[in-house]
Amino acid sequence: MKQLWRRLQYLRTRRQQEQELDDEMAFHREMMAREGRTPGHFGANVKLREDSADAWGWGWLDRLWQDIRFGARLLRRSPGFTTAAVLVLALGLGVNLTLFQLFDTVFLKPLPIREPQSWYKFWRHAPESSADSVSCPALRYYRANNRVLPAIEGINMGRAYWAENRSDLQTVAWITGGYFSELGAIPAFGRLISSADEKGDAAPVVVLSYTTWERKFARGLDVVGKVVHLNGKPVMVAGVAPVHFAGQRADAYAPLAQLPYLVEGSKTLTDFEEGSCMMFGRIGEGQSPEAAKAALQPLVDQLAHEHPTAFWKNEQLEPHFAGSVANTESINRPVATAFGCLVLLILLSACGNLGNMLLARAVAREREMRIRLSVGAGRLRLLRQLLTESLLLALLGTGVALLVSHWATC
Amino acid sequence: MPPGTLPLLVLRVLRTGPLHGYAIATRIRQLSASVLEAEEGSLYPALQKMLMKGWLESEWGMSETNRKVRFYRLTAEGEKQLETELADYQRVNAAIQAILDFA
Repeated sequence: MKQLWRRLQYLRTRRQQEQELDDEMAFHREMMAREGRTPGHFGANVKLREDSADAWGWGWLDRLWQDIRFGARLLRRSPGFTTAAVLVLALGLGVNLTLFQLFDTVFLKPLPIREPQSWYKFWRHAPESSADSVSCPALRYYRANNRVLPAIEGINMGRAYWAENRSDLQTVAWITGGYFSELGAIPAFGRLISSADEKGDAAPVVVLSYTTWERKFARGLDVVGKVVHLNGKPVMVAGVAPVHFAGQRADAYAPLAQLPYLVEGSKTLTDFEEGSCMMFGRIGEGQSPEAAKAALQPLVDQLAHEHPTAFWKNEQLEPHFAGSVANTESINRPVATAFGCLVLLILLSACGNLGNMLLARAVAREREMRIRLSVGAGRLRLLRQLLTESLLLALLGTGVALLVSHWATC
Repeated sequence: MPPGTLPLLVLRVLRTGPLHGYAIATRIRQLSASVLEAEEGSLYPALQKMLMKGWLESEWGMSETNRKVRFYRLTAEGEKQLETELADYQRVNAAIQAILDFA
């Protein structure tokens, strides 16, 4: 430890130390001359300086610096080769980097929602069939009678025409009151839908998606409180959803309880045969998905008993993890894998190309290497210099690749 | 000079008191009746290495010729190192001697 300190100290006062050594040596020579002896064994000052740097264990630093400078000079002298090599590297690395970022968001990173690790989507599941949605009345029944899960929320996707224009269809997500707050969404403006909106006497409201607000309201700040028309029915704009909302995407969000008001003659809320509502839920801390499933079973059985035609034999609610993109959106895994392999091939071919280019250069530099060997450069030293040159190329390539991928993902 | 002996000699020579580089070389030459010569090209790197290891300390002083010069002094660590190197050396030396005598 103390030794390392001394070595760093030496590195810090390097110039001074070398000057002192020079002085010392000059004194030594002076004394030798005074005694009439020839300073024969002294050797060149440069050599001595290198030896003393070696003694302090910093010789490699000098040599690395030499190699870097030499390598940079070489790269500057053949701009064609340098540009080609850097471009090949940047392309190979950049494509991979970009794709990995995509892969990371889709498969590895959790969704940017509150406590993504406990967010599950419940599928209807029976030995012979399965479906990713339940019927709206079933969902409301589960939600009302749930004593096991910290939360159950649902979304029913639908369409509604905007204002008086019957051709202007917008996707509407009919959601239960706790959906936004469970996901931890913060409104861009106004408020989001809450459980108060589910009450029978609540005034009809709608929450706009950020893009709808941009497109239909030109980012107007007076949007909150405005009365708009959906399917020709007046509703009040309660607020605007956040820009990057990680939940279900839709043009507008409205409380599920108001679906009969806005969609005339709809039986969605009463018909158990119509399975169109996605069911999400939180699984509590210390609760396993299996335990949650078992605890929900009595509710399913009860409904199945009351509506035998609407339920499958041995129907269960199967929790699927929904805290990452890959589990909420339907992603074709084989295609994704094939794509990944393709991108790896690009990297491989980039490496192959670069290898060829370097080989061609090495052949052209054979003479230079021979000369260096014959004037006393060690093989190891030459190897190190070549590696440093490659490292320089790699660093340049990586830098450009980072820029490319940054630009691509922006 | 056999390889590896230079640090031992330098440490031993410095035990009697601080000396500058040239004096160390002279001392080694004189004491060995010119048999052993601390080549200047290896003496200074060796001194640097010993400074790094913490066996020696250096300070600036005036030479006999009134010139500023660096004096080297043994540290406590250097004393310890000298002991071990001496012991090692004597052990190996005795072993070699035994072979030469009785083989």
